[in-house]
Amino acid sequence: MFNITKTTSLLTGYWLATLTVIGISLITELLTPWLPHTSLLLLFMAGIVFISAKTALGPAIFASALSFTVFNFFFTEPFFTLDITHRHDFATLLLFISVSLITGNLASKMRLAIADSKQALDRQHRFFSFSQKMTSAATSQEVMSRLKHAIVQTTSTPFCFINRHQQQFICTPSTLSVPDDAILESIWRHENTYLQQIKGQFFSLRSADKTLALIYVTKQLSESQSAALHTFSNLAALALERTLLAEDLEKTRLISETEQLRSALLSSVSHDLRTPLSSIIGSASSLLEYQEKLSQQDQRQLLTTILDESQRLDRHIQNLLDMTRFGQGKVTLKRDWVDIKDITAGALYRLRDELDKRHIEIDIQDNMPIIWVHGLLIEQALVNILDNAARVTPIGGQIHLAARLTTSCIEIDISDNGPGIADQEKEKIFDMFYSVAHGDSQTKTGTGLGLAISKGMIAAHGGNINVLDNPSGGTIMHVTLPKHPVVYGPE
Amino acid sequence: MNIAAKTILIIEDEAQIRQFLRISLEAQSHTVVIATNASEGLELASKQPVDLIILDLGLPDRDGQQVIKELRKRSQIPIIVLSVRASEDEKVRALDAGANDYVTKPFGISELMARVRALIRINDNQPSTQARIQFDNLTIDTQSHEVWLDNEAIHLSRKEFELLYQLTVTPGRILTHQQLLKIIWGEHFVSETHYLRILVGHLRQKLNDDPMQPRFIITVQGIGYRFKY
Repeated sequence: MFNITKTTSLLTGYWLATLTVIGISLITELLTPWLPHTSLLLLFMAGIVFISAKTALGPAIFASALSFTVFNFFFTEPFFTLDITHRHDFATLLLFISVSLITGNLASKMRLAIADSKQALDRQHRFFSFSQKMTSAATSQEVMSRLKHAIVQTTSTPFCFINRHQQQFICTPSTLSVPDDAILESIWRHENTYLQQIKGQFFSLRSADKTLALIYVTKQLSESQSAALHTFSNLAALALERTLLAEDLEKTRLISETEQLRSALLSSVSHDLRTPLSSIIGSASSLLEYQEKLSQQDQRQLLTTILDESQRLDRHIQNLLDMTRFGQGKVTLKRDWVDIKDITAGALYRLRDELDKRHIEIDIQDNMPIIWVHGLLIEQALVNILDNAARVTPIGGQIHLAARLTTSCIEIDISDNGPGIADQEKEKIFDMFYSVAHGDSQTKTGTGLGLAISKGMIAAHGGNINVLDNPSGGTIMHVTLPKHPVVYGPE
Repeated sequence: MNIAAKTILIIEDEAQIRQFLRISLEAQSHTVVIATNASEGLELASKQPVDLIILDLGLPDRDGQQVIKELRKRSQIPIIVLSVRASEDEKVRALDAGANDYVTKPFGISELMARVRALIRINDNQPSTQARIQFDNLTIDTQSHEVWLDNEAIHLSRKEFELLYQLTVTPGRILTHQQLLKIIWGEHFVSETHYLRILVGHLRQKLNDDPMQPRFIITVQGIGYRFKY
């Protein structure tokens, strides 16, 4: 491609030279009556300087020769021949040709020098912007795609980018055959030595101690292209090392978090599923074995235990299911217009057994608008919060639920008079499997899932939940829901 | 509650659940007929007179929704659907397909018995033929569209009356949002649930019915409404 443009520009150079000389000849013809004809040569000289500055040395020499011939033919006696009558004309012309050659040469050298420095500036600019792009690349994928873009812009040769870390090939064009595994293997293994043997074909992206990736080029590159690729490789290597390191760290963090969750889940399953099961199995087998010997009241008590514990088990399983669904992001909000009073009533109804013997006070503003939410999810969120409140509230204690409309959102406060939550635990109680220890006195411990799920459900609606201290002792769970929904679920 | 003994068909593949349903229903002096899968259930339903069907949606041989449609082709026998928790959609589909009510597994027997009682009562009373419907202190005249609460006439708009009428004509039975929207507003409005919410709000206000402690209209979250029986 480069060669073609060079040829075209050279051809146009000759055309430009010819046209300039013809133009100057015409002007000279017009000026003949007023100027001595030796001075007319200066006009031709001007033309030659112009051509040398604009085009290459070739057209400049051509312009000199043409000027010489034209002047000789038209403007020296005898006219319209190439003969020269006067000796001084001959001397002038000789001088003209030598001066024009020297000028032309100088001018075209200067032009080349300017072009060179412009190119160098361009290159520097390109490297600079490339280095910026590399610094800002956040992932190794980004590094690779930006590098690919830069290589395509600089050289037009087909190439492959081989990422060692991910065993990944990016080729342009994509049909390009990659070097076979044996060669690659020896490159990865021998590191530098092999690379030097086939220099110009491979460019390595090296970190401090190993080759991270390779650029493989199928054709021999020019020196400047080769230099450019080399620079690109060095810059990209730094960026690639950085992003790979970050990705590794992220992966490790994820793995350890998943591990923690898994072990918490296991202990939760074994503890929270087995505890109610123990009561159920124990009570049922007692009934089966000793029914005749037990009083009516004892029998009833055992049966009540079986029922209560089964319901507890069911709630826990529901929590595990909800958590899994939320954890996997598989929940789609089915928003609908619902009445906050309906939701509250539903939550209270579902918790009627747990809230029994505790005083519930409800205070919902009259002008509450219907809200655009997934009703069952918000109900579940309230169930978990109220369940938590019931657990920390002693029998005979009071739980207060207040809902009101503010200028920007809907607020629901659920207050209890339990032991309260220490400041350093206020954030943690929304973490999965985190449950606050209240000593042995507490018989029914939380599973540490309910509040995390509540938070997830409310957050999915663009709302928030946080813990405040209840001025009269205990805790306030402060829930906010946007008045105008931020997220619309798929309809 | 004194209700005449009925024949109840249970279509359920889980032996344990069949067992406790049978024991409890028989304790209420109903006659229980049992099917362990869909085809057996459909056959039994067509062979002998049945007053009520309890249908599990998760059957081994056929989708429960299909069974409802099959049953509805032939008769209007009340159907109570048993479904696992997870999905509101499944319940709504079952109700829209013609099921009369649902109970979510796991459930307590009292919950199921309440549904059974309500449906049997609806079927016995055939209230659509009555000119006046009476619930505690609420009286509805289906002919003149007049409504009295504590012997005091209350004025309802045409749509409010329609809503109240639809709910009271089958007290205890769930009507889904879609069913109500279709009856009151028409086919094109079945997704405009906020119309319904607002209408229910107005009706409750006029009936002096607190949604926190409903006397008349009960919300079934995500599914519809039912009239308290």
